[in-house]
Amino acid sequence: MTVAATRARFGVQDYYKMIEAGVFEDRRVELLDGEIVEMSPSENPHHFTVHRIARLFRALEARHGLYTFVQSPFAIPDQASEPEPDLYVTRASLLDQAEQKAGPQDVLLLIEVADSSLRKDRMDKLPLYARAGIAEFWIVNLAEDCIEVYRSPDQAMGVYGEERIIARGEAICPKAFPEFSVAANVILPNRGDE
Amino acid sequence: MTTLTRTAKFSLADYHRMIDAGILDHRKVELIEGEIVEMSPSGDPHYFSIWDMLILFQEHVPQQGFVTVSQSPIALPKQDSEPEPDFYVARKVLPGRQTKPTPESLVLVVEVSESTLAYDRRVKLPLYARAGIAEFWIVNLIDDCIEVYRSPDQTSGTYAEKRVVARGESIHPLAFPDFEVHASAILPRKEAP
Repeated sequence: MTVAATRARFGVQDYYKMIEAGVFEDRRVELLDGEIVEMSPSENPHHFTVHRIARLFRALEARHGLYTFVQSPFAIPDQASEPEPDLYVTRASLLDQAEQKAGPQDVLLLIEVADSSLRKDRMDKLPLYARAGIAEFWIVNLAEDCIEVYRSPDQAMGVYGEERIIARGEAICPKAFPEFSVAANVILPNRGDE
Repeated sequence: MTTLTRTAKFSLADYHRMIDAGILDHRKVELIEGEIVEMSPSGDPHYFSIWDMLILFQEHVPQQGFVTVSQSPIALPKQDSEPEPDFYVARKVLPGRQTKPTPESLVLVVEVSESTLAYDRRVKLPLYARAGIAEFWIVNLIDDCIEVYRSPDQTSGTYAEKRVVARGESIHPLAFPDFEVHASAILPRKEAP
């Protein structure tokens, strides 16, 4: 016997129509697996970390032909999703293409900074990004003071084949631009003793 | 701080914007407490109970002042809801008024429940009570009876008065005290032994 009703699900096109109809004015939402969910407000450590990473990647943009999107949506139509990750890096040439939103194939590296959203990022976002074939996904885990690096997405299973934890003091080279080494200390919040 | 995904809730105005934009075309949905939910398709006994109620009430409810309607939406703006009850009786509103029936104009709301019985009791009942729907019936196809709920408490979302009308018994709707409704006229026909 049903106690709960089935929530209606929506596709990316429905979602765009809702945006056009003004349903989400003054609201921060994203579309995840057909459901419209509220985004958690960004708190201080989270917010500053996002911008520290953005500054780091922006410094590389010209040399490597990259572009960093900060808190911008991108479409995963096959998964009825339009998430708004904290950051993602694409080829700079994407900006000169027709005015289309980026798709999963354009994303070289995607980063979520997680404090209160850690569970949501691991349970909901990770399988979504793996299914969409996002090549590399980082969770900057503020609670445990480390960077979780996920690679080799298995689109059928919605998991990543490769998982690495980068602790403070260690560094990581993104797969798509390996000549660039990112130190965990530069990304994680200052602990005040450094 | 929340750690779980929070589904976005919608107001009645949001919902109507979606309807106007054609987003909900060809979908069987209703708005319940700010959530857009799928409606379950009705089986035969469910359908015939509604059919019987329509015929019965259309014969007995005064033609001038009231309308009997089935499977159409009603508006509960304060509850961010626009459910589609199986059957309802509403006071006729002034001609030209372009709004769906609101709690003040509804004298009886009925849900016919089989697979949805638990949902109707746990979600729809408190919703209708909070909205101040004066009389709510659940035609309970599982236990073969009619549950009659009256005296809504809008604060607690409960009905103070509950009566179970078994097959063989009858009930007079609050709004129509002269109209006797036999449970057997609404409950599915029993096969002859």
